[in-house]
Amino acid sequence: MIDKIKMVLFVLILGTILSSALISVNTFTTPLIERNQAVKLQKTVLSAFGYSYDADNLDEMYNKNITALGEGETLHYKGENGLIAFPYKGKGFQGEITGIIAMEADIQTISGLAILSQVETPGLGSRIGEESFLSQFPGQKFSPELVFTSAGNAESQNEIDGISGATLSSKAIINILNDNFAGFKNIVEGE
Amino acid sequence: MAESKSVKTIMNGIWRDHPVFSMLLGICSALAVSNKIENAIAMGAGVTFVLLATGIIISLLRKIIPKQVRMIVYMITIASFVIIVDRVLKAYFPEISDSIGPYVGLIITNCIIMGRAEGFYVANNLGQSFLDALSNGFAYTYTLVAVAAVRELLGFGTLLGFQVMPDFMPRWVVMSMAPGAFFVLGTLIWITKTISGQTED
Repeated sequence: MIDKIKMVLFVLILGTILSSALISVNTFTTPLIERNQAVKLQKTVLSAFGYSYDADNLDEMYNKNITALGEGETLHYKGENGLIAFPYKGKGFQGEITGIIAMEADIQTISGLAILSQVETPGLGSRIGEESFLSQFPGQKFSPELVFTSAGNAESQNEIDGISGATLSSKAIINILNDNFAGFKNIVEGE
Repeated sequence: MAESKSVKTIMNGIWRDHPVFSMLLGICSALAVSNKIENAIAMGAGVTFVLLATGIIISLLRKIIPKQVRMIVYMITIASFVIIVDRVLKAYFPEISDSIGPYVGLIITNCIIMGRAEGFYVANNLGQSFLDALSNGFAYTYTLVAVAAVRELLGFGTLLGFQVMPDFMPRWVVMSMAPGAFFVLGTLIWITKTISGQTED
């Protein structure tokens, strides 16, 4: 009997100590993590608009060039350079992909694409975040929508080369953009 | 010359009882995050840190852990430190966290840590456990880096992100995917078993 009580007490005490360690780590890191997320959002928006920035002038660049309009579902961004950007999100191969797409005033031509968060397989699907893939999008048009082609075959204005080894993730992001595109005009007209 | 206990612990960890080659532990994470050297190093460092922390806690408490609940004790210790690693990575190294994020949680299920806790830390003092954690963590890391070096070179043509292979060399896409890891790890296990002369009984 005494053994059983000792056993329960031991687990209880160890659990309490470890939980308090976790709580203190959590309190300590939460503001830093939130700050990192805010910084990442600013960076993503700036790079979708095609502004260059560095760590020192991030806030300044953001405040000078970008105005956020609407909220929730109708959130979008206007840039000093006349572009307009929308957040997009949808289901990737492994989980949710979110990001920012900047469009020209016609709301049909893409001028920049950036990914905010994705949990695709590291080293495989995660390569949709690489410059070589994202740099295909500027200049392409939703006419009437983006089309996936296998690597090296993109020709027309609405075709995007997939990444071999990351076919499903490349397809996923193109589908996400097509799905989200339908809502963009409504957001702007609703102003 | 008789080797001291510490030397024996280290040698066992990094070679004779190598956690991956000899005991075939931690295989799933070794397969999953070994496609780029960068990811391999980050994962190795995470596992080493959790091994060290678990080794210290378990060896210090080994005399008072009631033996009926020792598995639960390992589990909550390991889980707590994994969460700490995850939060610290997110707060201070957001880029590394983005690239291996989903796998950090999987350190909890890395059987090397559970295996060493049950097989070594619960029966040895702090100093020996510390050495054992360090050498096992090192063994796991160099294995991951070795597999990742082959896979990154053949699959992406780069090493640590720098282009090494000329552009005309075709990329072996299979190397950057899971089957490539099986080929490379299998070959490495074959080589190390042959060198060390270990065979199945």
